[in-house]
Amino acid sequence: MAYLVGMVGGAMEILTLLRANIRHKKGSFLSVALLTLIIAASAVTILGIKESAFQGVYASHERMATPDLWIEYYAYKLTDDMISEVKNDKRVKTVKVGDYLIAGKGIMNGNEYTNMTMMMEADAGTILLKDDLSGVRDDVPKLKKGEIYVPQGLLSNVQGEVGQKITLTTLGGEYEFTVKGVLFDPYLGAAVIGWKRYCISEEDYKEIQTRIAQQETEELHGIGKYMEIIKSDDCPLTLAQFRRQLNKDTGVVDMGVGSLTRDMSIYYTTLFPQIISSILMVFIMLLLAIVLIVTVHSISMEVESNYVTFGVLKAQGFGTGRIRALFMAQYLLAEFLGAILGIAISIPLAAALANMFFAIIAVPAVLSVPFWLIAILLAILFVLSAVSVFLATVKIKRISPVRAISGAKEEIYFDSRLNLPISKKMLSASLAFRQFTSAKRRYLGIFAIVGILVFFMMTINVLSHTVNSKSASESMGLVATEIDVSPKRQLTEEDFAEIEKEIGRHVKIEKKYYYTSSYFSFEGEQIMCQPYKDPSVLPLLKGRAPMYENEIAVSPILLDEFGLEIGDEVIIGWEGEKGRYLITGTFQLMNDAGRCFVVSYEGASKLGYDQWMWGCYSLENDEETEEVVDLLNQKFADVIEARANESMMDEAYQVVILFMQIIIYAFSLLFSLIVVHMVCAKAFVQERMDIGVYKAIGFTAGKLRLQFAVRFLTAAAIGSCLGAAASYAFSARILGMLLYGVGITSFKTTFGLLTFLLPVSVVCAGFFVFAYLSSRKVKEVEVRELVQS
Amino acid sequence: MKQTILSARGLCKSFAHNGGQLHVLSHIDIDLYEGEFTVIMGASGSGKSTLLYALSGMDRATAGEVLYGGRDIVKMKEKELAKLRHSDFGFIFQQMHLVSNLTLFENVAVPGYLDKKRPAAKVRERTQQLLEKMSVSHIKDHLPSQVSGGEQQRCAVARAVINNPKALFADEPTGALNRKNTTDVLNLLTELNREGQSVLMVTHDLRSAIRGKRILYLEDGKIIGELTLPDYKAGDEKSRETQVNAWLTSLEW
Ligand SMILES: Nc1ncnc2c1ncn2[C@@H]1O[C@H](COP(=O)(O)OP(=O)(O)OP(=O)(O)O)[C@@H](O)[C@H]1O
Ligand SMILES: [Mg+2]
Repeated sequence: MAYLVGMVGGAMEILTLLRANIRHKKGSFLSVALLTLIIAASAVTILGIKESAFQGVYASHERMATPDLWIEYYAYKLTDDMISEVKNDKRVKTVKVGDYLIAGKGIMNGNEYTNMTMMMEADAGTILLKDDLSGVRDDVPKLKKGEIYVPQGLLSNVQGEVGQKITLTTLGGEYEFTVKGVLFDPYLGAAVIGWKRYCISEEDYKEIQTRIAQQETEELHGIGKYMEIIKSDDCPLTLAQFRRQLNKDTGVVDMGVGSLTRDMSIYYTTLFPQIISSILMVFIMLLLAIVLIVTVHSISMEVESNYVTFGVLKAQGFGTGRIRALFMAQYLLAEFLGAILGIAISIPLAAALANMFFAIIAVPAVLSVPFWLIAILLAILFVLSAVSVFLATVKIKRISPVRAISGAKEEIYFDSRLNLPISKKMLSASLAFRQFTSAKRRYLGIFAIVGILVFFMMTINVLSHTVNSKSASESMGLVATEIDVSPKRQLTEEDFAEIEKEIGRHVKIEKKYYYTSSYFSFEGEQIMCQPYKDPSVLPLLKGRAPMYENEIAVSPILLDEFGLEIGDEVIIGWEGEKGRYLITGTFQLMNDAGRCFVVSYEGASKLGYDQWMWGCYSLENDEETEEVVDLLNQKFADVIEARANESMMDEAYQVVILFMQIIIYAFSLLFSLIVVHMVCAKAFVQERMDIGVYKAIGFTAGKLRLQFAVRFLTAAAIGSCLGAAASYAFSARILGMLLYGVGITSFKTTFGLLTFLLPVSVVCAGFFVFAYLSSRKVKEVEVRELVQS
Repeated sequence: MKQTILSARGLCKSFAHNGGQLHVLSHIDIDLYEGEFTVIMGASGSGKSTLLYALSGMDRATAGEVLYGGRDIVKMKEKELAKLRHSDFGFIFQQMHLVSNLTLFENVAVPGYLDKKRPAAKVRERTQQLLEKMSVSHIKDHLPSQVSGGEQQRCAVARAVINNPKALFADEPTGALNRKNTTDVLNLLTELNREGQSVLMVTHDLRSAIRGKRILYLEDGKIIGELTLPDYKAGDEKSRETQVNAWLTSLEW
């Protein structure tokens, strides 16, 4: 309270002092403002981009009046009885049923898209995107023969673009189309969602339909139907519950090949922007921590070097509160200005980058800035800063006018245990080390700052390492496979043996996986299931692998979601058949965002499951992979199609993650620069005298700058080690927590030399160079200044 | 014949001041001789320190030349000046200015280490000798903040002569010291001078000035008087003081 009164009472004096102080300490004022600017600008930009992506997704669903539940079927499975049963259900408002043709595989640009996709005819609901992503086109040009519209998610997956050709494989043969435009499909269009819908011309549709119809008999797997259901207004169920309940009563979901609620579609579509922005926001919070450390550090150095001034001020009757208010006003003003400017910069920036996630979410962003969130964050920033300033200025209370004026020199922190002798051979280094050890406290802040930066850079390295190709699957507990083999008919034990023998003639097979992937109903919900010929090849998290026909293993996320435990029994369904299965353990699986389970192929067969198994082979080395693939394709041309597996992760994600990595590295460097500059400037003021003395006894400016740089290098090196140790201990855990949503719950963090060396060398080199540059003022110090002081 | 080691001609030093120029030194000619103890006196603000700094290469003159070993130090590069400072000149400050995080021993030895040709062991040996001579060897591992002002200044004297400088400059070396310490430091300087050390000392303290052989008087940036005394001997103080006092009075001190 007294503090507040002091603040008000002394407003005028404070203003005068504040002005003088800001003019005087322009350096640290500017640095704090700049640091705040960076934080505010990046936080608002990131939140803005994320919010715009989310709003884009919401707006798109609204615009398309998307259904609450979407189910796809093989056409012959969806009977009129089922349709009318759903229509008559009182929880259902409307039902729309439509037809499509199934494409099993798409090839574009030499890249394969192997998910099951749907070809439809354009109708009144078909909308195209503008090239500049500013919105949707007013017109939908009628497609001619051989032309197609596809959603962005497909293009992102195969790295294709409008104007290129795509080859689609149907039961009626292969067809080539030219991509004429990008389809606006918020429901299934995102890169993370496997199903894709295309629009083709009426002519093509008719032709392919006829061809497929000629191919097969009763159980036609080439033609499908979809059902779009909108829940009635008075139905209180969530969409997930709605789907579950509806399925319980009618079985319509189990009869389908797959289904998706709007909520899930939105969840998957926005998952990646969500994760990326969470990671970046964590980074920004760490930067905020750095700013606070810098503030505290800078204030305590200021207090230390102005000991006498404060003593004099106190002698003149200034209260501690007033002096503290001065600091408070100075730093908060700096932060306020920085924040305002940062926000001003970031809004156009967010607008310019709003469509950053387009390749993934496949709908245009709707620019929006989450003002409330930003206001709250700013409030937190100011409160934290105020608290930091308050704590950092506690010392002022203890300054007594007498002691200060009678020349109570700053204490010298000197620890003889760390006292390395000054050596002639390494004069600069040993002097630098002495300067360092004699003022360790001054460098504590640097340790913490460097530690945080290195920690984060390493964590990001672990992440990108994880997301990239082989290591992604290693993190998921899977061994990456070099060769994948897709079947042209159901493969037999002999087929498997022969393929293995063929591969084994060239290179040793490390591990082999035979499995399929389908949506089964799991406790009434459609969940991805992978029937494995031998589930024991999968690395286990907990429990044991399924051995018997009535056993399954599930992902930890699924276990969580359904509130299940190992040992529980669940009901699994496939196309209407149901059975009880026992959960024997958990696996690390990323498929379908970690919502999936594993059963032995025999276990799945019990339900009438008969999809063809794929083969995947992990090889001891990948030098001959291409040749082996060619040989397999020649030798088993009728049975399989083999291909070399390159990357687990699609380019679209890699680009975003690389972008994120660059941002984090650039920001870390920028922060190092500002922090070094600030600490250097302060150290410089305090050591002006020593610099003069060193010059007087014959040190050159170059030597002195080297000392400066070495000192900061030492501090950075120690900080790096702390950061590295922290990263080693916590990175995996933190990433696991952050990435729980994508289904990666356990990180296998291999700390390679590069993971460690890259960030450490970047930060250390940065500190060294920046300290060297910041100390150029050494040149300006004239020895005669010593006399004048 | 006295050997000149340093000679300045037409030395000027001006500072930018309130938009104009403040001429502190104007056209000074001065010579320093080998083995001589020279003293500069003058009122506060007369430019004594400025002159000392210009002569010792700590600061650059605005105009004129300072010849040392046939070269003009005004025109020397920063690197050459730095070398000059550690190998040829020694400097003692009024405020001692020891490096606070180095022990007394290290403070003395560090400039010695700068001499590339001298082995480290030799530097340490000489440091030890000097510290003994200055009677501070018993506290050589203390930090400056842990010893008295007099001890600090004696250490500073040792630091100034560690590289056997051609010229030793001292700017009011006793200004911050009490009587006892003042005498000690002056005795040290006198002793060094007896051993052949050339000394140029700035002071406005009579007790210090009488240690000199030659006393120059600076006023408004010009040398307006010069007094040569016989060699200093202990016990001479009284008569020298009277002599210098009379001289100063004649200069309207
Ligand atoms: N860097 C500078 N900028 C402006 N003026 C200066 C500067 N250095 C010295 N002066 C001025 O030059 C004049 C001489 O200063 P100097 O320090 O040489 O005097 P001094 O004779 O040593 O005085 P004192 O006996 O008090 O030490 C003074 O008027 C001083 O204000
Ligand atoms: Mg002076």
